[in-house]
Amino acid sequence: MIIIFQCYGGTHTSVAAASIYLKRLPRRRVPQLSDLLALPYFDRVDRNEIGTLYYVGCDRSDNPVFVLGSGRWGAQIRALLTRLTSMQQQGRTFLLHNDRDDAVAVIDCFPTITGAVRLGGFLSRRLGLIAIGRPLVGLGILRAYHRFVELVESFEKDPGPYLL
Amino acid sequence: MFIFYYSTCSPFPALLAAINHCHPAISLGQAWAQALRWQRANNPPGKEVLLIERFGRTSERDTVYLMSAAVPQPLLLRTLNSLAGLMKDRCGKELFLPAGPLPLWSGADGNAGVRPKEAFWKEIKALVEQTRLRVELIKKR
Repeated sequence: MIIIFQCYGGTHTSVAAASIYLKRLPRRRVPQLSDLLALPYFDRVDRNEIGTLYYVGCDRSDNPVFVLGSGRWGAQIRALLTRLTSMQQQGRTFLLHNDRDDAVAVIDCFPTITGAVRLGGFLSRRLGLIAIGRPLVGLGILRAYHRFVELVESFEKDPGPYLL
Repeated sequence: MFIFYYSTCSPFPALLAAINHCHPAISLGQAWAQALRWQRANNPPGKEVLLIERFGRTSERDTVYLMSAAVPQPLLLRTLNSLAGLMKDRCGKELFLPAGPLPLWSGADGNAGVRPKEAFWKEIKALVEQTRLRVELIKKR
């Protein structure tokens, strides 16, 4: 299975959720701000890179995990990818060519976004005010940390609704 | 190989590119008329913007697909290119090629809009030629 955490810019909420999933961030307690800011890709993907899949690691079952920014077109991109994978099920195997593990799961991290994350992301990524924006995004994520853990655990419990 | 022509909001530019790819010798007038016919039959006005349709096969036996949605071209092309790279890693060969970016279409479908038809067609033909060269290179590897 290919696992994709998707959000607006592919650099804040998706990176945090993917890191929780990959056990790089704890689940039972809220991590330190410095732990969050040190994550690869955290607040480091520029606007002109939105849409690129970034590999963030492999889970325990050796499934590759990616983060993806889709701007405000997340639902449309999921719909397009769903159509591509369904065409594969009709025997046109152009998207995935591996019978063994050809499922794609996309976890939409949009519901975890808070006002602080939105504002911090705008300051850092859009205006280039990294010194203010990056810690603000981090604090916004830490404040709503339980939402991220819930999202990840919901996927782990039942990946079905997330499969394309 | 599967070739995808994607255009934002209207499938018309992708349609012209697909027609030119499958019929390299076709004239602008014939391509335009064929695109309008295809559009009427497959994507009438009012139908949802999200479209993925198989268009046809090229003389090199590649399959050409049309895609259209509201997602901006650069963003979607980055996602499709990332997926194509991922699939290449997993399968050991390049299976699909997202082609683009296509020129933006400012007029209503079937009308030239502010851009002269000929100039629009030239840009489409250049992109199709570029795509053919990319396919040729991939197959030579």
